[in-house]
Amino acid sequence: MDKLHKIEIQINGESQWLPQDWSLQDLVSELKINPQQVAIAKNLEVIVRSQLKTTFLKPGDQIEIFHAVGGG
Amino acid sequence: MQNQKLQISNKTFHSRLILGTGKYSSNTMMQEAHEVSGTQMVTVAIRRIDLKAPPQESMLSYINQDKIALLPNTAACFTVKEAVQTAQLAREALKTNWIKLEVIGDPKTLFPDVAATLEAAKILIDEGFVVLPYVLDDPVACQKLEAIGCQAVMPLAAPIGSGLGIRNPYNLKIILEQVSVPVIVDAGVGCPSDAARAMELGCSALLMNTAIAGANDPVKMALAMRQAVEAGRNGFEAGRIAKKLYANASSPMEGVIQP
Repeated sequence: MDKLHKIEIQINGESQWLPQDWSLQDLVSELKINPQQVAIAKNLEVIVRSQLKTTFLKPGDQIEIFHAVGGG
Repeated sequence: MQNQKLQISNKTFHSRLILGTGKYSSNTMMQEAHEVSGTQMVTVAIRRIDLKAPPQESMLSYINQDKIALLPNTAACFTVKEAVQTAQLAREALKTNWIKLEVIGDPKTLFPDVAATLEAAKILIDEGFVVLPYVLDDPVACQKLEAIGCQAVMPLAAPIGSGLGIRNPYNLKIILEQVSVPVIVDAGVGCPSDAARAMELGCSALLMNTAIAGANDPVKMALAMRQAVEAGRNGFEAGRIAKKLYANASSPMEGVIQP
C-alpha cells in the first residue's frame, strides 16, 4: 500500500492531508486526543467509539470532533 | 423528620440544586462552588475541540463524577436537527443518555422554540434518551412534553442569565398542578430569595449557572443558594399558613394585668 499517497479531508472545518489508509482511530491517535472524552462525527453522523478502528477516511470526508465544555 | 428525595427517571437525588459549569473564572472556583452547593448534577455543553489551541486539562477533571452526574445540554441549537445531533454527540462523548434539551427560538431572549422542542423531544425519547426540556413557563407546553415522555419539565423563571427572578409564579403554580413529572425551574434566578420562592411554590428542583458563577463570590453564593433551596423546600413540605387580612394574636388575650 502506498502510505505516501494522501487524501484531503476536513477536520473541524480545516483542510488536512492525511494518509489514505487511515482510520478514525489513527486520526485520534495522531491528534493525541483521549477517545474516551470525545465524540466524533463523520459527514454529520456520529461514529461510536467501537467503530473508530474500522471507519476509514475517504477523500472529502468532513470529520468533526467534539468534547464537553462549561455550560449552563 | 424526613425529607422527600428528588426522583428523576431512575435516579434519586438528595440535592435539589442543579448547577451549570459555564462562566466561572477558573475550574478550581467552579469545583469549590459545586462542592459547597452539595449539587449532584451539573450541566455541560458540547462543542468542537479547538485543534489549534495548546492542549488543556479537561474541565471534566474538575467534576467529581462519583458524586456529581453530568447533564449535557443542547445549548445554542436553533433547529431540531442540531439539537438531536448534539444529544447524540453528548451521549457518545459522556456516556450518558440524559439530555437537557434546548431548542432556542430567538437569539436575543434565548426563549425556546416550543414546537421544535416538542419535535426534538419525541425523536430523542424514541432513541432512548432521558429528556429534560428547557421550556417557557407555559402549562400547555409542559403538559405536552410530559405526555410524550419527558422525565421532567424545566420551565424558565426569566430569560437565561437575566437574574430577573420568577416573572410568573402563577404559571409555575398551574404547571405544578397540571404535570406529575418533576418541575425544575431553569434559568432566570438571580438571588437566594428567588430560589427559595421557587421551592416554596413546590418546584422539585432548580437549575442555575449565572447566578452563582457571576456573583462576586461564587462559592459564598453557592452556599447561599443551597441554603435557600433547602429552606424553600422545607417550607413547602412543612406547609405554610393561610394568608389572612386581619391579626390573629399569638399570645393569649385573657389574663392580662388589670388596671
